[in-house]
Parts: sequence; C-alpha cells; structure tokens
Amino acid sequence: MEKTVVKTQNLVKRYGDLIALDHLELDIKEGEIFGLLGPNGSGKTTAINCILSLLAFNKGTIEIFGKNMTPASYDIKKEIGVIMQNVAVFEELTVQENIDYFCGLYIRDKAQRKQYVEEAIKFVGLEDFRKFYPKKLSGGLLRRLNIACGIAHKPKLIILDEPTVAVDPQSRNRILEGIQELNRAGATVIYTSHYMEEVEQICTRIAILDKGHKIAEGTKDELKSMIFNTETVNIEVLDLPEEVRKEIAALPHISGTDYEDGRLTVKCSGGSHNLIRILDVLRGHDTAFGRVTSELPTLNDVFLEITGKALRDKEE
Amino acid sequence: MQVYKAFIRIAMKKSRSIIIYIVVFFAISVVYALSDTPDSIFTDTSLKVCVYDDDDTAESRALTDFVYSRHIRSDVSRDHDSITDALYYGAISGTDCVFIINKGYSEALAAGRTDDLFTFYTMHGSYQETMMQAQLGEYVRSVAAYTAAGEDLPDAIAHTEKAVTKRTDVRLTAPDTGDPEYPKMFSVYFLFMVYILLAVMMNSLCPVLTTMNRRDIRFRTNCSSIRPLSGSLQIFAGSVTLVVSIWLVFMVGGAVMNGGFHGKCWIAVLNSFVFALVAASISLVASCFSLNPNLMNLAAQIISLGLSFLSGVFVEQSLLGDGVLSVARLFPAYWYVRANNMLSGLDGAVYDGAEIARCIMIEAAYALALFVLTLLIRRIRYSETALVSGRNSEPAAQN
Repeated sequence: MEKTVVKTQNLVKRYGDLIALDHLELDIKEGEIFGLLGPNGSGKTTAINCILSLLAFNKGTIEIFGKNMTPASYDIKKEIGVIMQNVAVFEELTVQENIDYFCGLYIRDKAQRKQYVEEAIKFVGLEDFRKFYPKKLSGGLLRRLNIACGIAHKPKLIILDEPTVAVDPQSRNRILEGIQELNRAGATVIYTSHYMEEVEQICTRIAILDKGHKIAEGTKDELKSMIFNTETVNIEVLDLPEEVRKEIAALPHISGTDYEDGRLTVKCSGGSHNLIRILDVLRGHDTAFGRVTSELPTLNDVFLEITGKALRDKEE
Repeated sequence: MQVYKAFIRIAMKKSRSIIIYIVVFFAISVVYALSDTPDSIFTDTSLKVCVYDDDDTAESRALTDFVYSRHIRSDVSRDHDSITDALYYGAISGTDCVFIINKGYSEALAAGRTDDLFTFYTMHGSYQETMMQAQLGEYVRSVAAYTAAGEDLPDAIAHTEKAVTKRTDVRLTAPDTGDPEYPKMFSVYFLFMVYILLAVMMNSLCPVLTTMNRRDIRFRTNCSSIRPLSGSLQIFAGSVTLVVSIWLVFMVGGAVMNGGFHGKCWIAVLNSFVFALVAASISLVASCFSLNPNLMNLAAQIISLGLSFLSGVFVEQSLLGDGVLSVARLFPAYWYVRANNMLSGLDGAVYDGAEIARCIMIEAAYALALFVLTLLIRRIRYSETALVSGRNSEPAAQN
C-alpha cells in the first residue's frame, strides 16, 4: 500500500470574508509528482503556505509523513525542500555560498554539506558558475540556482510553487526534466502552476483548484475523461451536401457538427474509431476531402469546461 | 552558526563604503593632529611696505628705519602706474602698502602736529592700510606726547621706538582640561565620533539587516528546520560583532594617535561605547523599514549630520540658541557631546563626574528604548505579513 506523504483534511483558510481555501482535501502519495493546477488566486499558494505552516488556517488538519504539521515541526521541515516563484538568494553571496547557506540550514555536518552542495551544483548544471554572483547570472541560471538552494539537502518532499514563471523555453525544459529526475531519485513532488501543459507533462496526479475549492482530481487521463467533448475532428471539405453533414451528425458519440468556410468540425463525446466512421461516410458519398486533423482535449479544455462560464452562471 | 557566518560574510561584502568612511575620518584626524599646535607663540603680522622719504631728515630716516625694522621692505618705482600695478598685483609683486613721508614731516612733528604727515597708496578698504595707518598714528602721537613733555625730538623718537617695540608674549594654549593626559586633539576626536559612529553604523548594519530580513529570504529560512529563536540570536550576535568591531577600530585608532588611554580618557571610551550602542539601535530601527540602499544612505546622512549639528558637534553647544538646545536635549547625541565637553573642558564646560555619569546613563536609556522600539516595530510589521514562522496573525487550527 502506497504511503501518504501529505494529507489535508477539511482545510479552511479565510481572509476576512474571502474564503481562500474551502474545505480542501488532499492526499498525496509517496513517489508522486502531484500537480496543483488553477488560475491566479485559486488558492494554490495559500494551500502551500498552510502545508508549510507558514500560514495559520481556520479549520482542518494537515499531516506530513503521518505526523501533524505545526510551525514547530522541525523534524518534518528537515525533510521538505521549497522552491518558490521568486528567486530567494543573497545577492552578496556567490552561487556556491548561497547553496551552502541554505543547505546549512538543514545539514550541520560540514563534510556532508560540502558533498551535498557539490551534488546540487552538478544537478542544476552550474559547475561553471560556482564563483559567480547572482546578478551576473541570466534569468534561467538564476532559477536553477533557486532550485539548487531548495533541494541541496536532499529532501523527501519537494514543493515547487510556479518555478518556471518568466523562464525561457530551454531553461524551462531543463527545470522540468530536473523535477522528474528528482522524483525518480525518490522524492515526492508537489508542483503548482497555471501552465497547464507543464502540469500535463510531468504530473502523475493533478488536483484542479478554483476559488479555493478542489473541483477535480485524478490522473490527466481521468481528468480528460470527465469532460463531454473528448475529441475534435477537423476536415477540409470543399463541397459538403447537407444530407452528408446530417448523416455524420447522426453517427454514435457525435455531439455536434459545424461546416463553415470549407471546413467541417465534428465534436465527439467518448467512443472510439470516430474519425474512421466519419471518413467512411464522406467516402460513401464520394465527397472529396483534404487535410484531416484530430485534436484530443488538453487540461486547458478540462479546466475551461469544468470552471467555464456556464458552470459559474449556473452556480450564480 | 550558519546565519551568523552569512551575516558576517555579507557585512564584509558591503564593507567598501565603511572603509571609505573610516579612512577619511582617520586621515582628517591625522591631519588635525599634525597641525595641532597647542603652545604656539603669537607673532606680529608683517606687511610688505615701500616708503618714499620726501622729507629726508634725520627724523624721517629714523621713521623709515623703524618701519622697515617691523615690516618687509619692498622697492617700487616711483610712478603712478608702477605703484598701482604693485598694489593691484600685491600677492604677486609682494607689496601691501606704499606711503610717502611728506616734506616738512620733521618740522610738523617738532611743532606737535600729527596731521597730514603721510601720503598713502593702498588698496582701498584693505586691512593693510588700516594697520599701517594705526601704527604710524601711534608712532607720531607718541613722539608728540614726548616732545610735549619737554623732551627734544631725537630723545622723543628714541623713547617712542622703545615704547612701541615693547612686546608682551602671547601664547595660544589649549583649554585647561584639568587633566594633562586629555589633549585637545583627543577631545575633538571623540567629539566627531557622534557623526562617524552614526554614519558608519547606519551604512554597515542597516544594509546587512535589510538583506537578512528580506521577505523571500525570511520565507526560505522559515521553511527550514532552523528554529526562529536560533536564527534571531545568530543575527543579534552578528550585529553585536559588527558594532563592537567598528567601535574597536575607532578606539584602536584613537589610542594609536594619542599614545594610549590614560585617566579620564577611559570615561570618554566608555561614553563612546554607549553611544556606539545608541547608533546601533538607531540603525536597528531604520533597518525595520527595508529601505533601498540609496534611501538608506540618504537617511544615514540626514540623521548623522542632523544630530551632529543639533547636538553641538559642528557648532559648540554654548553658541546654539535656547530653542535649539531644548530640542537637542531630546536626542542622545546631545548628552554624549555634553559628557565629552565636560571631560575635555571644550566649550568652557567644567568637569563634573556625577553629571557625566548621568549623561552616559541617559544615552544607555536611549539605546535600550530604541532596541525595544525595534522589537515592537518588527512584531507589528512581521505579523502584518502573512509569512511568519512560529507566530501567526490569527490562531491556527492546528492540532
């Protein structure tokens, strides 16, 4: 049975009348890369701050490694690495000194610390920059330093709060690969972001937050299966008779069709081999067609469908 | 000791401006010490003078010799352009004053008349003209007085020369401090320490504390397994190390320049140590506001210069108005300067051990009050921000 690393129950955090966390329930298992997904202001950072005991909450409990998390849980904090959105390093210290300082807040043994610092420098690829001051580093290298400062002490639980904001694509890929590597090395990761594609790329399980409330949770496939439109087929058709369009619309698992400017769009809801069936209809009527594309839903589609206007209008 | 080590390391990295302050202060102190001549003998000022003797008598020649014996002879061609050029370019040509002993000088003197004896060429309104006229006036009035008393002219001139050349030795001495081991240079060194301690403490301590208390750094530190009390104590220890080190630099410098400390000097050392704590406490308060380096430097200049002017560092307390002094009494620098003046005898202050102790106690009370104020501000500021370790703005519902 998989061990639970982080468990929040009934977690409520209010700022006056504003409910930042609304009975949040999380159960993060060992070895997972758990994504907390949601737009700005959805409660991701508040949840992280509560989990880290940096912020008091109004109701609920938080357990980490099976123990209650409190501000004085130093034995638990020792096993946690935190990488925040802002680069939190000393401008006055070199790359190596910065990593050594933050590692030293957890590791007292000098020899062990030296080894860990060296490994962290290698892990983020800053070997050539160890004597550099942060202001001499590019944005991407700074982010890597920020990560090295957070993971140098080899934590079992790593919390990353939007670590790729304002990072170039090359550095972003390197950071994401690094997170997966840390996970393979045994660390459980909590990753918050509003970049859906990043979460989709690396997270093994995802919780979607909106207005402090968890609106969905599961693997990316489970989340995608929750929505109505599971596939969108686009076909270039120069001349589409109306009876052909109606025949396609009548096929099983087809939820809607649209023909405009020589382009047929077919929305599918579940089922399989939808594309083959649509093309069979076109061939059966000798209807010429050109480029065919099939789009599977992204987490963005999932989020839009779950938290979209219709749903909120209904709530209101 | 990770936080302590980082504190010291950051302080060292920010030490460039501090070193500049210290070097400049020591350089000025050395220059002051080298130029300090507490027992200088007063000497008369000599002018560069050219005399034309139109009378050409024994009396007029005696006056010419007398003038050249007290002043420096300067030869100028006797035409209007040469004389005006010589006076106009006095600094270059070396002529301050040109005068003519008018014809009939000796006859007028014998008759007891002292008017219209000389014709002057000087730069109008210059002090050289006034000085020369005063000396010649004194000479001829003295001769007239002797001749009126019945002496013949040669005797009157001889007595006059003897009388006006008689000198009283004037010595410029340091104020009597009542303690020969407390030289003036030493008291001035400690007086200016108000400015330098405030400037250096604020420019050294504030930036380091601001860095250590940066929100994102504090966040990361609070996430770690280090206890908040341990972190705070290490920062406090770092601050103490920095403050004492800076103070020691000035004390060692003072001791080297003055050949060590003796007697009352030790009270001045204690006074400066307590004021160093005051300066450190002011820096602690300033650091709570997380000012950027430029603003912090500006604040340091305003506070150090403002307190120095108000409290009698640059202008003696006795010259400050009652209104200014009543405001100055609200600041610790005033009490430091007052104690220093009483120790050194500067500004006419008289040594009073009990009063000096009271001044030092008032300074210590200010240091304590400012330290408590810092703790209060930090408590309010950091409880306003959500990210607090161990202390939350509202009761946590944790188990």
